[in-house]
Amino acid sequence: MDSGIPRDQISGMAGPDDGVTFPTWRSVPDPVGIIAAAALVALSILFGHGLKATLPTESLHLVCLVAVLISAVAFGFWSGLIAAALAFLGYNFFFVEPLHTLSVARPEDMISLGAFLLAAGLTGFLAGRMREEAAAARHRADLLEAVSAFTADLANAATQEAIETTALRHLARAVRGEAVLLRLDAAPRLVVAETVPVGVRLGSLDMQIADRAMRYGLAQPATAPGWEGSRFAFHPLPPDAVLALAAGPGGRGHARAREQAVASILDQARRAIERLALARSAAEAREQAEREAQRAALLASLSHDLRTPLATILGSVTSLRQLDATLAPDARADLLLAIEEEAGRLSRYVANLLHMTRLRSGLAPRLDWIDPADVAHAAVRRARDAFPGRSIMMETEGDIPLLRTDGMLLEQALFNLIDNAVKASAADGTVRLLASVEAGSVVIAVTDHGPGFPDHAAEPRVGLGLTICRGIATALGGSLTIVSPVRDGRGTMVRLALPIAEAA
Amino acid sequence: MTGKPLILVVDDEVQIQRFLRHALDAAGYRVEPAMDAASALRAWSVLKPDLMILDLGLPDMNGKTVVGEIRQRSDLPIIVLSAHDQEQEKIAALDLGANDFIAKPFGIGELLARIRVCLRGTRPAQGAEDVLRRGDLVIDIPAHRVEAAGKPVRLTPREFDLLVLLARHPGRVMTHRQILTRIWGPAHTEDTPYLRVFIGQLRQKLEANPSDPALILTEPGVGYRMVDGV
Repeated sequence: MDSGIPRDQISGMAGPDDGVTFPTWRSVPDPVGIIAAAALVALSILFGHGLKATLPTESLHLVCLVAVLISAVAFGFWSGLIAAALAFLGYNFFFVEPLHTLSVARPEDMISLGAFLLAAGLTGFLAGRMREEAAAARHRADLLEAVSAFTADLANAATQEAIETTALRHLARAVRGEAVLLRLDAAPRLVVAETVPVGVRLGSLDMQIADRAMRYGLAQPATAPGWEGSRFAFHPLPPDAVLALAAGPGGRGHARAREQAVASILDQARRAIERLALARSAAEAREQAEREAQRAALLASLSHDLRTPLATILGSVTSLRQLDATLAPDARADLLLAIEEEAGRLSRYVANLLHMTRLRSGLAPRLDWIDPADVAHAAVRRARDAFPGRSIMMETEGDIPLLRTDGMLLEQALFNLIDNAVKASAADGTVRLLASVEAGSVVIAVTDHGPGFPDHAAEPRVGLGLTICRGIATALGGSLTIVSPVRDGRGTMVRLALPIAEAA
Repeated sequence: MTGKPLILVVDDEVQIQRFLRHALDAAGYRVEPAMDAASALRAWSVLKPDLMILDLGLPDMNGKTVVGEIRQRSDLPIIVLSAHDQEQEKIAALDLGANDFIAKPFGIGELLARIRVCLRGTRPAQGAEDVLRRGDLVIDIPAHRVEAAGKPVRLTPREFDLLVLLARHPGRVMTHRQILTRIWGPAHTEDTPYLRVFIGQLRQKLEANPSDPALILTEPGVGYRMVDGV
């Protein structure tokens, strides 16, 4: 358990009671600082001795003050104070009459010595303090930089895992020590996912405390050496991770600032993960709403598409039965024709519905190598039978490759597109099919010269046919796009694109 | 002006227009088709039809808007053609002043009956009589007296008002909101439970078999209709 890290650092890392800004005041003076102070004072006295002939004795104490100043700035507060004491003794010994004794003969020398001691003490104190403040400021700047670097990196973390590992890296930097990321596995049990530096080990007691942090969602502070516990502080990172931090021997003290930096990084990481979860559930809700809207639109179009032929058939039949006496012969013939046509329309809808059900229930398309141009011709032939007297033209552009797709579904989709186009056109209008190859896809475009899609429709109605086409296109890995108007503000072109399979 | 009433048929479905043209022509009406709301409003102001049949699923305008437009300036009888997924719009159109509705698909007999009721409703004498006779029901309005099958029936003032309102529009649907506004006042337009209670009491007092009403019929979700020509 003993890592050799001074006690005040570990407890300072996680303990809230440590509020001292300059903890080195309380620390034992550095031996290097003491030796350096002694050496500097000795040097200054030697130097002063050399200058004794040229300078008045009263100026020599300035040379000694320089030694105090240098000690304090270079080695800190304690070193400065010790230098001040040594300089006082040395100055007295070497430069104040009687020389080479610590006694003072003249009363004015007494005053001068007193002033010197005060100046040396103050110099040492102030310079040492300045040094420590500078060090603290540097440390704070370091931590601030760590936090802001984390914020910058966080912007690039798109997943929860990325956020966690980014936090891990930056926390290790902030505490200048070790950081361990633990995640819940499938069990669910916490396991070490990543450590900085690589290869940090956690003992079974560490794992127990990590588990506690996870379970209660509360940070577990590090324990001081010599006590039962862990040298790591454990911070939960909901929903499924814990970060373990052990402060390194680096930055001495400055616990409060470091603690704030750690808290800030953890806080940001938690928020980022929450935001991610919110964004995800918002996206899910949006998707759900879209699916609902699609379903509602489909149901509306379904009931409309089924109702119109039914209304026509029922209306025509009741007219024929009840108004028989007054109906003109050609009116009667037209009503009968209407019944026949609408019954045909109904039967096509039912066929479409069956395809739809097949697609919706997730049945895979029956894939085979087929010639799309051939399938398109079949759809055109069927459409010509269904709409006698209408002009339906088919052209191909270039070589149309074979596709691995479901021929029956493709034929149904094309027939639906022709059906829509015929309905949108005037009786003498022409419906054109064009098969071509574009950017790795076979594109079959069906064009009419009807009024186009009204963009100001109060209730935009996408028919069952088009909905099924889109479903088929998606099921076959392709896409359906609508261009309207095509020319002169009229006409609609629906493009069914199917990807050409990669030649293996 | 020939004697045949002119009916403006507004529907964007060619097939519906087709059979209605034949049927209404054979039933003795003149027919003017309109495929969308804009041309319907044009035809209405130019041709002054006697009745309008209005499909609620028009491509260019909400059916409610058309009814509202017309009701601002005219009492033209309007029969709304509705689908099952247009319940709310149908009720709104009726509240706005459409005279009746018929749900698709429908038999021609039903539509012709509605047309007859609506055309008769425009006759000026309607609604001004003092004594209403509906089959074996006699309502003496000034005397506040009601007889069913020759026997006097005691009605509360509210029940009496309700009965008179329905009897003044035989064969025509009255929406919940219309009835509540007229009998209970504009503050009670949502209080349909009141209405159900009063209709139940009326049926108890007037119907031969209150559980199988033959006089006051329920139009589910819409309102009530007093049978025509009992």
